[in-house]
Amino acid sequence: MNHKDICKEKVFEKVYFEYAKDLKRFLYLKFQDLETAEDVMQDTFLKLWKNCHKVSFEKVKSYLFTLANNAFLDIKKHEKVVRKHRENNNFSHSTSESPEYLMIEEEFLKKIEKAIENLTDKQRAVFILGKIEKKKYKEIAAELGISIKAVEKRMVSALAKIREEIGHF
Amino acid sequence: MEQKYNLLFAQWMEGKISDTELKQQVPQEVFLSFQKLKKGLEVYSELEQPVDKSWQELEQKITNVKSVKPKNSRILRFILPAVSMAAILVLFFAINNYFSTDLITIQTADNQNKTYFLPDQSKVVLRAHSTLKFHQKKWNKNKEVELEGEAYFEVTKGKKFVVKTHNGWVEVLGTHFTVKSIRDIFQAKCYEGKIKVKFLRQKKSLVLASGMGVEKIHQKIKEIRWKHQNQPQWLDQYIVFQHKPLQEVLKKIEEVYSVKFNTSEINLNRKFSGKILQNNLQKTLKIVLNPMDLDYQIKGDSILLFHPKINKK
Repeated sequence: MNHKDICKEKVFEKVYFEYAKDLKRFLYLKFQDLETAEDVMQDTFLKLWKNCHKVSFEKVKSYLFTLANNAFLDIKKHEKVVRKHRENNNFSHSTSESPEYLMIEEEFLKKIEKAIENLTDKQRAVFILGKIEKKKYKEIAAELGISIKAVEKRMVSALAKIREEIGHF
Repeated sequence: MEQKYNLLFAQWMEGKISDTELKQQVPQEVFLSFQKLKKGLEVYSELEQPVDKSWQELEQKITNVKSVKPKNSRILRFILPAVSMAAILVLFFAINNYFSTDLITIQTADNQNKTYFLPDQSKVVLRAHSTLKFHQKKWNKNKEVELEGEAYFEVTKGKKFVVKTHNGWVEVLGTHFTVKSIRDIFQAKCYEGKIKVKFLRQKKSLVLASGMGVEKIHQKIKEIRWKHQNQPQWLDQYIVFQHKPLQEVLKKIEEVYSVKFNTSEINLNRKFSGKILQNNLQKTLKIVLNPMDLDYQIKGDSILLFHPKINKK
């Protein structure tokens, strides 16, 4: 089997698992919305699939990110038009965009990542199981072989340490 | 002051203090910073989720596209240039591959280990919530399995055996080892022999001998060592039956070991009380059959159960 033919589903799947996360993150930072980031990410890969014979394996990454960026620009352009139309016709003035202070920039995400890496092993285990794998205290306690109280203690210390690490922002 | 705020943040995140209670204890700008950090953590968590689920959604969309996609351009590329034997053969194999149903998938549900024997008699014990896949037809040439979850392997010596997961690969030449790949946790432990471990997106691979393991949670890689344990503890799982009919017990054994019993010659209503193991078929059969004066014989695809005194062979 040709391991570099993107039109082969197995290869395409590998490409997906290689770049999906990073692409979604790239899109989130632009759109500041998780759902949109997921949708556009999947759309981008779908476009890649439809054009699989036109893209060489080596150029896949830049193709994906270029496509995603273009999608972002298109959508923003469209949104601008819609908004202008709304303003011109005196429609509702409420904006659904997040307030400025709730924007999550790349720097901020990187700080969070670093802070998590700097947790102690015990804190990090509890944090990942609870906040990323979304397990309940009871399940975490069972998995780690500690009491529920201990889970709570470690989670609280992990969160406090994360805030301490991130400092002023 | 900051230390106090750090603790307050943690407590608020875990729901120990409400928004109103918090606002009474911190200035407005600090409250806003709490909200931002909370959102940041939520976003971070969401972006760290494994992409399996979204891959399945995308797969669905791709299937829809496939049924509409005109195949002309692809077929023309094969047939137009000199219609050589090679081109036709390639087309034949491509179609064959596409429709082949030689992919075997083994899955476990909650709370149960499942033992499976691969075509070369290598043994796999799948832990609960795990899936193992492999191609039956290609097996002899290429011993490759795909794993999601956790499994213990006892590989028969011979050709290279590879376990592929979404976090990396483990390669062996006849040994006993476990591989765990669940979300962003990847772990490989060698109980006997040697294994080679390769993480996705990393160039170097590690070679581990017995008593050595490696674990990667998120980005952190940690070495594991242990003594006095020649197989994982979760292997020693058993299922307890209290005064249950033999039929039920045999059904469970069929499930756990992927075997089939021929029970036409025995009474299935007799009651059994005891434990059946999840990693040793022979022992289990002994435990269940001996007290009932039953014996077994492997006949082709199934296991025949009978009364030795009555059936003289």
